[in-house]
Amino acid sequence: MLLDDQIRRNRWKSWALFAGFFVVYAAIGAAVSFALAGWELQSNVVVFAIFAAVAIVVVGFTLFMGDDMAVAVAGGRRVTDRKQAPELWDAVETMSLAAGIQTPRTYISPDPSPNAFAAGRSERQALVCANRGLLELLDKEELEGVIAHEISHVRNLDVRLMTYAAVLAGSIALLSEFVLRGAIWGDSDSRGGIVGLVVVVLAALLAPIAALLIQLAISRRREFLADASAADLTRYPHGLASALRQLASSQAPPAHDRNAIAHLYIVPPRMFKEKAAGLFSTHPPISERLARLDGLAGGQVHVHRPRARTAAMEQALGAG
Amino acid sequence: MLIVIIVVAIVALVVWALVTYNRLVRLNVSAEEGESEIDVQLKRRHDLIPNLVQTVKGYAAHERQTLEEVTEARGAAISAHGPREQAAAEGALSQALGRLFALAESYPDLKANQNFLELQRELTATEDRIQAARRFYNTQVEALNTKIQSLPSKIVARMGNFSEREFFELEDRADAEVPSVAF
Repeated sequence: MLLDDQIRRNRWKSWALFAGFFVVYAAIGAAVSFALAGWELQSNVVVFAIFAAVAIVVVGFTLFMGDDMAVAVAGGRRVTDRKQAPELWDAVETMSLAAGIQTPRTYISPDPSPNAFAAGRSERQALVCANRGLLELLDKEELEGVIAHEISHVRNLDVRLMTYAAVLAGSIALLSEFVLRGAIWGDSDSRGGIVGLVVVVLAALLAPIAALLIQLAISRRREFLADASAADLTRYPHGLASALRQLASSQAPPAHDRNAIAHLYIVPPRMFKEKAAGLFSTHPPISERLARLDGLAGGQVHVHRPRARTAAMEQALGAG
Repeated sequence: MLIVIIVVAIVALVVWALVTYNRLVRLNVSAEEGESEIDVQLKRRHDLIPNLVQTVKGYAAHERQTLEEVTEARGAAISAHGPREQAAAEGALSQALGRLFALAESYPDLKANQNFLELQRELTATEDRIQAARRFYNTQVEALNTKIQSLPSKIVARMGNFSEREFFELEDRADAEVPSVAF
C-alpha cells in the first residue's frame, strides 16, 4: 500500500511541478515585460507570448527527452550488448525481473566517481546510468543493491518527478543566467535604473526558485523507500549497505560539476555535497540510511570482495 | 432524507466493490505475468543443459551415470506442471547439476574449456534470473492471497470467483546456486 501511495503522490507532484513551472515563467514574463515597456498592452502581450512559447517548448522537451538530457549531462554511453558490461547488464536485467518492470536502457558514464542514477518518464521509458567508478569499486551483490535502488526509483515513478525537476530547474537556471548577462551587457541607458534593478532582483530570485523546484520534488522518504524496496528486491540488504558505505567514503571526485542532475544520483556527488549542506539537502544523511539498512540486515555485514577490472570492461570503457 | 442516505450508502458500496474487484484482477494478471516470466527463465535453463552435457561428455564420457541423471532431471523439470511440482523438479535438477560441476573438478581440461566456462556462467546468471522472477511472482501471490483471505475483500473475491495461487518455493539462492568452483 505504501508503494501505491508513493506512485500516486509522484503522479500528482509531476503535474504540480509543471503547473509551478508555468506560474514561475509567467511571473518572470510579466515582470520582464513591465520592466521593458511599462504598462503598454501590446508589448506586454508580445513579451508574454514569447515567454509562454518558451515555456511550452521547455515542457515539451522535458516530457519527451528529459531522460536523454539527463544522461547527456552525465556523459553516459548506451550499453547495447551484454558483453560490453556483463555485471551491470545482468544486474539490471535481474533486478527488473524482480520488480516486474520492463528492462530499462543501460548506460555507462566514464566518470571515475562511484555513483549511479535512473531517469525517465515511465516504467517503459526509463534508463539506468552507472559511473565507471561504480563498476570498478563494487562486487556483484553490492552492484545489485545499487541497481535495485535505481530500479525501485523507476518502478515507484520517482524517476519521472526527479527527471522533470532536473530539466525544469535547469531551464530556470539557464534563464537566470540569460537575464543576468542581459543586465550586464544590455543597453545601459534604455530604461535606466528600474530595468537594471528589476533584472538583478529577478536573477537573484531565480536560483532559489530552481532550488525550490528540486526541493518540492525530492523528499527524504523517497530515498528511504527506494533503499527498503532494494532490500526487498534483492532479499539482501547487506549488499546495498556495503555499497553505500563505500560510496560515501570514496575520495574519487566527479569528473564534472553536474548540479542539474545531482539529486538524481544514489549518493550526492561530492562537489555538490560540499556546496549544498542545508537548503539543498535532497538526500537523507548516509548514516541514517545505513542504520535502517543494517536494521533490515539484522546486524550481519556483507564482506566486500574486491575484484580486478575485466578485459571486457576495459574494452567497453576504453573509448570513454 | 433517509432515502438519500441509503442511496449514498449503496453507491459507496458499489464503488468500493468495483475498486476491490479491479485490484483483484490486476493482482491476478501480474501474478500470471510473473508465472510466465518464471517459465521463460526455466526454459532458458533447460535449453542450456543439452549443450553442457555434450561438452562434459567430450572430456568425461565414462561418467555416464551423472550425465544421465542430469538429462533425466531436465526431462522431469520440463514435464512438470504447477508451481509446486515445478519447484520440486527444479530443485532435483539443481542437485544433479551440482554433482556434475563437482565432478568437473577432477578434469582439468574440462575446467579450462572455454565453452564449459561460458555455459557454467550462463547457468548461474539464469538461476539468478529464475530467483528474481520467482520473488516477483511470490510478492504478487502474497498480495492476492491476502486480499482473497481477508474480510471484507473476501466477499468480492468469492463473487468474482478468484482463487488463491500457489507460491513458487525454491530453495534460496545460496542453496540453489551452482556450487562455485575455485579455479
